Amino acid sequence: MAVRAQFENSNDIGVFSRLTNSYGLVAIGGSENFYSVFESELSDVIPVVHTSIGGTRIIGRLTAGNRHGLLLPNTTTDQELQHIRNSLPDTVAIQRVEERLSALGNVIACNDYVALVHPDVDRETEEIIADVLKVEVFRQTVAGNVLVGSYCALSNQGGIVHPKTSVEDQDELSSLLQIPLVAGTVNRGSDLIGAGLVVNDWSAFAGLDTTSTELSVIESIFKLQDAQPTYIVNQMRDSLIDSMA
Amino acid sequence: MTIPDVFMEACLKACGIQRHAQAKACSQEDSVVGVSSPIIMALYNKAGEILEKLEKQKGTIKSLCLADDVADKKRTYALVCESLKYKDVLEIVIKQAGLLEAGKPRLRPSVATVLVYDFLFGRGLQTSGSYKQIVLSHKTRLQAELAKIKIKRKVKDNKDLIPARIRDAVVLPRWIRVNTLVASVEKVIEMFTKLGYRVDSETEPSQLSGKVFRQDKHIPELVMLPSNVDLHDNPLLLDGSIIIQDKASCFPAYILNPPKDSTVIDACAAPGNKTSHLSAIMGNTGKIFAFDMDKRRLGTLKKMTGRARCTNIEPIHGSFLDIDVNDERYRNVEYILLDPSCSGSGIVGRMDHLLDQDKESVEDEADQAASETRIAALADFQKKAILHAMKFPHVKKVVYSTCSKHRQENEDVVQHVLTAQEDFSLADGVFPQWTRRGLPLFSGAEKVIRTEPKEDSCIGFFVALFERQTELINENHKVHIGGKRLAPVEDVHSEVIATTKNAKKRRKKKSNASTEAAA
Repeated sequence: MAVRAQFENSNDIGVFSRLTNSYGLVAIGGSENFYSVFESELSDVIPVVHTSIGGTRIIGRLTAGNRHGLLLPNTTTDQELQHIRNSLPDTVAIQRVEERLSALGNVIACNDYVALVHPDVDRETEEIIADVLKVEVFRQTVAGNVLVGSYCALSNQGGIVHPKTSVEDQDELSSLLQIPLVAGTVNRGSDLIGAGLVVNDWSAFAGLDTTSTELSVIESIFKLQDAQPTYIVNQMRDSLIDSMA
Repeated sequence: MTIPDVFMEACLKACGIQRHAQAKACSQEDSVVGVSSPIIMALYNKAGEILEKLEKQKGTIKSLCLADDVADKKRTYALVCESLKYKDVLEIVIKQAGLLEAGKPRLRPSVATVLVYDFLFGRGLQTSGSYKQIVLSHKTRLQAELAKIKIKRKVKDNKDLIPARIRDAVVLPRWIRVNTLVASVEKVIEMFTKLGYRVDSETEPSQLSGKVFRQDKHIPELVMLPSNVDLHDNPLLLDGSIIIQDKASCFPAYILNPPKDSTVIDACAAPGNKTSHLSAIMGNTGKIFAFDMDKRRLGTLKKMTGRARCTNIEPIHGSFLDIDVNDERYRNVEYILLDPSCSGSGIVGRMDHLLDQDKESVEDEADQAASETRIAALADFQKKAILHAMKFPHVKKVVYSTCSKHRQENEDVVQHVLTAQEDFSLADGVFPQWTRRGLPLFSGAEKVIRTEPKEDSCIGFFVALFERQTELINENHKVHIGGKRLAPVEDVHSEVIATTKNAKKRRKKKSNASTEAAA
């Protein structure tokens, strides 16, 4: 199901939250409203954790992660790191990254298999991304934008990219990611997909301004209409891919 | 230290500081293994050096890989060949990944090529030390660039990245000819069976592998072995019982089939495999004059025929074209094997296709023109050589062969020769079991033989047998001009039998020719 939400009057919920198939992070806010939306959708299945990163609330733009791991910027304090470590499952690897481009959420867009990264990230960061998130890493741009994390939202089912992404670029990205892609908008025409939308394999949260048309595109490309928490399916896919590789 | 501090410390170790720990472990490992790595690093260095030399055309793959200063010849050879197969992909990957701009000292491009080959396509890097560090620090990028190329080219398997020209290259089996002067076919087969080889007559020739062999169905003294068989220290090869010789290059001598005690000329003889074949057919009797222009190659001929224990061969350094046909020494020559220099376009080198990409794919007009003039020059020489061979007063048969696939050097030459003189024509019934005949460019083209590497499992070859036509007349008028003949009596005898046998055919052929001429 795709759900609309708002963080303290802001529609850019992707800035204040990070969602993956094995955990969710939400910023500490004035009210519990935002948290409740996530909680009601997810808490039976995955932990949803309140946290700040480096004392800020823009955790969605500062972190990058998937089912296998979570990358944190070097501004993350030790207390925050410890809190997150204690709250997330042991199977999730957590790593602080010394990267000049410290808004990791803006420079990395990933699902559980592939990551698109800003063309200028450090070579060492690239290696850490590959090791911690267990993904293939491709330096890419989305519609000419280097901030790949800001302009797309990906899950293992599909992805939405910047509305001005050319068909050729969509084809290339789609074959790199091995998922269907669509060019679209959120929040009534915003091209900042990553800021307006967070998704995993069975749920999506979009800003409150998102129109029903936008929401129906989201539901169809991420295959959310009848999605259930698909751990088993996921694991089957994992083992299938391993046996076929 | 308070308890929370200790806990925090543990926590940080678990996550945040992992990287430093890893880096430390890495450098330790390197310093430990560094002792044994020079050997393997030398392997990569050497393979890289060979690639550089190949680029500058300073030798062939084999000569460079089997040179004395190469420590591990087999591995180097494999590494060089495989790297060449993927060369274009490797170069793109290395460039995109920026591998050459990293590390101190910088990697040489050629060494990077072999390293990345081993990392991406081979068994993984075998080395440690600085090379491994540089490549592994680019691991993700290299893999990503490879994935991008595969997506761009729409291929699934790494093997599909190899250019089609190389992937579809013909792999020929290894042919060996039993030298009947030293050993019988039965004995050689028995020896091979003793060495653990078994008969395999089912598998496709190109798929043969392991210790198997098969006797050829056309030429009984030929044995087919898998292409990757290693014979260099085989006792049978060393004692001259077997000779490594492609099937197609056994055809000329087999077709010429000179009888015992005859006198034969091998016009362009080196390296002497065909010469020793002739000698074997003649049972080491009679005389073979082996000409070659190149002194060094003539040396090879002496060595090869010596090992094959041929005693009836007289190597002569010089041009076949320069000898006087009326020279007393060569008056008795009745058979001539003519395998002149040719473009060699039919030769399927075992690994040469990895290098000659400019020959076919990037061939521009200037190159094409150059190769055409070269072929024309070769064809001129070939025509001259055949016509010269036909001038010997008592020559009965001239076999002409090339390892070229160009018609300019084959059918066209034969056609020219047939029109330029009247004494000789193409022999009938040459090697009737062989079904692949000449290109239908002139009448009688079915009397010459061609081979096709892909289908016949041997190099591309062309053979034509010219036979003296007027001999029949000579034979008929023998009573009148018989005194002139110098051939030994018994030889004449056998010849009479042979000619009467063929007489009918020839008459038929003649009538054919005349009807065609009328048409």
